[in-house]
Amino acid sequence: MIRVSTGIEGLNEMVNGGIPAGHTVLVMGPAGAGKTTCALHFIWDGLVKDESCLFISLEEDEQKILKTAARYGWDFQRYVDKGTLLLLKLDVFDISATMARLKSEMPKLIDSNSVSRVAIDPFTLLEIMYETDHDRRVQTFELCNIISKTGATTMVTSEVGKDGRSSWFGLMEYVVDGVMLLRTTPITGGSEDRMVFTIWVTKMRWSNHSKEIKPYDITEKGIIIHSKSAVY
Amino acid sequence: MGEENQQKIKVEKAKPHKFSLNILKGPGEEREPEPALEEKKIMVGTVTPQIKTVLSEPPREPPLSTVVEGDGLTESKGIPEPDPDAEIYQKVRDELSRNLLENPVSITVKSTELLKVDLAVLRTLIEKNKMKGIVICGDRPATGYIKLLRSRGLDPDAVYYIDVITLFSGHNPTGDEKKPNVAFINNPSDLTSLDIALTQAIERLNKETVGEEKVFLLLDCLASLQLYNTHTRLGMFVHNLTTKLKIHDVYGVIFLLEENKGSVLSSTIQTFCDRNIAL
Repeated sequence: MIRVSTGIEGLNEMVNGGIPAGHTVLVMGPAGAGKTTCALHFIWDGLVKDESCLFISLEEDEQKILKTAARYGWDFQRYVDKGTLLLLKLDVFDISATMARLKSEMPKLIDSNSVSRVAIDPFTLLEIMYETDHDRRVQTFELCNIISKTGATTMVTSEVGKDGRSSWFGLMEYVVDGVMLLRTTPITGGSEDRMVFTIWVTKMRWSNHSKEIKPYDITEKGIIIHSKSAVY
Repeated sequence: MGEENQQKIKVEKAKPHKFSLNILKGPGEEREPEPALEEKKIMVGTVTPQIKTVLSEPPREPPLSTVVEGDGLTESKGIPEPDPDAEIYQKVRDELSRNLLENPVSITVKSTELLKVDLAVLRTLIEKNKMKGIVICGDRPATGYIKLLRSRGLDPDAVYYIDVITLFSGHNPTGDEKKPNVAFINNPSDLTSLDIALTQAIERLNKETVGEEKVFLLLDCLASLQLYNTHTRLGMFVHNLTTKLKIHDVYGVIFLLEENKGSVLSSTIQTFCDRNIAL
C-alpha cells in the first residue's frame, strides 16, 4: 500500500508510516486546537516534495492563508507563483452555487494540475448551510465520493460538536476514510487545572493505527506530536 | 589507626585561618574573596592521612550544615574539619558500584541528609563512573544544582537539568540561566510535559555518548512531585519512567524520603526498582 507522509513529526508513526494514498482524512477539534495548522502542515509537506497541492478555504481568504503559513516558516507564496499550489476561497453564503462549483470544477482542477494533495478547511461551514439532515448527508457523501475518485489524498477539517468527540453534525466521520480527533484535554493536578493538547486517531480504513491518545504541541515550526510520550 | 598511618607534618604557623564569612552574606551583598590555599596550613601535632587529603583539596565553602562558632565574626583558630561528605560518599560509592545491572535503584534518605546524599550520588556517577546524566530538579532549581556541582569541583555540563519548579515559582529564567542543557517545565503537576522533556533528554544524551559511556537519571525527589500530583498519576508516571530507563539502558536513581517510608506511593515505587538502598 502506498502511504503519503503527513509531514507532521510523530504523526506518521501513529498511522503506520503515513496516510494511505487517496484517503480522505478528517481532522476535527475545538477552536484553537490546530486544525488549520494540521492542514497547512500537510500541504507544506507535499509542496516541498514537488507535489501539486490544492488548498480550499471556506473561511479565510488567500492572503490570510499565506500569512498564517508564513508564521510557521512555510513560504506558500513561492509555490503559488510556481504554480504548484492552488488556493481557492469559496463563498459559503450561496451554498448551492458553491457546491455546484466544487462538484464540477474541483475534479477538473485536480486532474489538469496533477494535484496529489487536497485540503478543505473547514468542512463544517459547508454542512451548516444545509437546512435538513437529509440534504446535508446526501451532499456530504456525494462530495466526498467525488474527492475520492480523483485519487488525491485529502485532509478536511471540521469543528466538533458539544460533546467534543464527534464532528459538528456527526456525519463526516462515517463518510471519510480516516479520523483524527484533536482535543484540548483538561488535566487536574496540584493547584490548578490546565490544558494539554492531545491527538487521537480513531479511524483509518485498511490500515493499522495507534489507538493511543498522544500529546502534541503547536510550535513555531508547526505541529509536533510526542508519540513517544504519554498523557497524564 | 596504627602508627604507620600517622605522619608528623611540619607545621607552618601562617596567619590564622580566616573563616569565610560569605555564608552569612545575603543576596546582593559584597562577598569576600576566598582565602588562598597557602594561608590554610594550620595543624597541630600529628595528623592522619585523611586530614592531609583535605588540606590538599582546593578551598571551598563550608558545608551547609556547619554551625559558625561564636558570633561568626571572630577569626577561627580551630583544626580544619574533616570532609563531612566523605563518609556518605564512601557509602554511596560502595552501594552504587555494586551492580549497575540493578536498574533502577531507589535511595531512602532522611530529608536532613538529602543534600549530602544528592552530592555523593552525583559525585559517584559523574566523577567516578564518568557518566553523563539527567537530573529532574524537583527540590532545588537547576541554577542551584549547577552551583552545587561547581562548588564540589564537578562539571555541571555533564548534566541535563529538567527544572519543574523555577517557572512555577514565578521566576522567568533570563540570560545565563537559559542554558541549552536546561529544560523548564511550567508546573510540577504537568507530568505530560515532564515525560516529553525526559524522552527528548534521554534520546539526546544517548546520541551524545561515546563508546562505553553511560547515562544516568536522578529523580530528586519524589516527595516534591507528590505534593502536586495524585498517587495514582505519579505512580503511573514513575512506572513509565522506569520502563523507559530500562529500554534505553539509562541508570536510574530515585530519591525517597525516610519520613515517607511505608507510604503507599513509596512502597509502590520500590516495587519498580531493582534495589532499594537505605542510607
